[in-house]
Amino acid sequence: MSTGSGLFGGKSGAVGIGWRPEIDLTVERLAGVDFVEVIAENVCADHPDHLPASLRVLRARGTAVVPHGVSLGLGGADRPDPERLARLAEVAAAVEAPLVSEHLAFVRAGGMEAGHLLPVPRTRAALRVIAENVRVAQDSLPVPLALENPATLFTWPENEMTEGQFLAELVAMTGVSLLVDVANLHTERVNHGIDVAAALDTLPLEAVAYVHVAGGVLTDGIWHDTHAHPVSDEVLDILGMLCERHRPPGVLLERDAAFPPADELQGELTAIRSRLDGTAAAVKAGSIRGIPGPLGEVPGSRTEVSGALGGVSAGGGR
Amino acid sequence: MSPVAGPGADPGVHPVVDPVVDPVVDPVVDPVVDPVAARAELARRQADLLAALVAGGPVPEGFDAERIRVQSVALAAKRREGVLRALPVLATALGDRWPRTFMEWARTHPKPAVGGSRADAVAFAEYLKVRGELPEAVEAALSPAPPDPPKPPRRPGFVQRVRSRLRRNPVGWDPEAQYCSD
Repeated sequence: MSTGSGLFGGKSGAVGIGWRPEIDLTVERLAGVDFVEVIAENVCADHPDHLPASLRVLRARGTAVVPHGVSLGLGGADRPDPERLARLAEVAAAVEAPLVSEHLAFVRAGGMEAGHLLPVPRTRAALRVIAENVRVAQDSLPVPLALENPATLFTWPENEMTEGQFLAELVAMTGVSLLVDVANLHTERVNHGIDVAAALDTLPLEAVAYVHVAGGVLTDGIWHDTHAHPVSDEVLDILGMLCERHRPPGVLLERDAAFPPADELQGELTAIRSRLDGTAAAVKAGSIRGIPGPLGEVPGSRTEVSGALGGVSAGGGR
Repeated sequence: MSPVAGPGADPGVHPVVDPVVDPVVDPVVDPVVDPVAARAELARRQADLLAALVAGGPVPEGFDAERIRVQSVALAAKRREGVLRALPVLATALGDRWPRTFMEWARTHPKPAVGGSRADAVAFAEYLKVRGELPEAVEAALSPAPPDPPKPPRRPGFVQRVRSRLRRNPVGWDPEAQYCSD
């Protein structure tokens, strides 16, 4: 077993996929899945025996499970709700999570629910409020917290900082980890004209726990981060740029709807693996052997990928 | 590169540096920001914005009105998908009126704070009921199944029935989306 950050079963450069009930059997059978993510709010976690059977199968293999929260609203004006935090902590304990993740976003205000993640104003005043919210959350959780940059359709007029600067300050203030969504960086590039390279240079990449990759669609000049379309090369290229700067502990594919055949998901995981290992150019040139085929065997030349499955067949815990 | 704190910066140590080029601020001791005022201002701005997005409120000053419209439509469309999963009969019973009527309603009526898409569907049905536009098939779908034991002497009204069903749900997440082992 290779040594690494220890976040995802002792591996570095782990590859994962968002576990969803619609694709649970598929996820169990995909090659080279080192970790999965579950939407924390949607998992029964009052007792480990009540977890979905598929998650118990994955846990028994030693596949790490990361709860991904969507309703804390850490970017909101209220301190995070203790009941929601307690539930997130409960899920983390039930799946023996190495960490949990949430978003730099607000989801409710003035007694109204947005039903979605909305961007925060990036001002010094908001930074102070949100840093305090993050600390409250960290104090309530049994494992480290990672914060994700959201995909947005609009910006606040009072913004004083870039998103990269804002997140860098939050990391410095709270020690929070980062979940960098490279599809959301692409969204920000299309919708708001940000310079992705500059954003990556500003983000403290050493604080990255893992990275999200997802597909979206361009409609009337606006990028919608749907998680229902194939992952585009533009998004994968940003992943490559990030990995060139700092190889992250893990990269995870998100697919939430319009689920494709398993082969297509396997191909996207393979593309992610190649960017993570810096072999994209070589793969395109056809000079690399042993890229896992669709649901096929995992070639032995790919030690890290085979290690993930090797743990499976051996039934080894970690 | 802008003067941003690196990951190694220690917020607990404050070396003598030009404050203009060192924006690292400890959230506990930042002398510039009044935390109480900061929370109040953030609450006000976010509430005003959310009112524009989900309650038909005016677009707050300074925002791109077209982008706020796009976001508002996107939020309503996301709710529509959830409501359709919770109560598919809405689409079949309302036919052509389904998407338009729901989108108009959702852009001016926030999603209920608890109960997820199921509560959203019920709230939309209540709205149709008040307007006398609730299709019988939807009302039937929302009514409890006929009781097995002898009928109670008096059944609560439509609104009480659906509220009672909602109260049985845990708060804060979408029970329709909960995925548990058998």
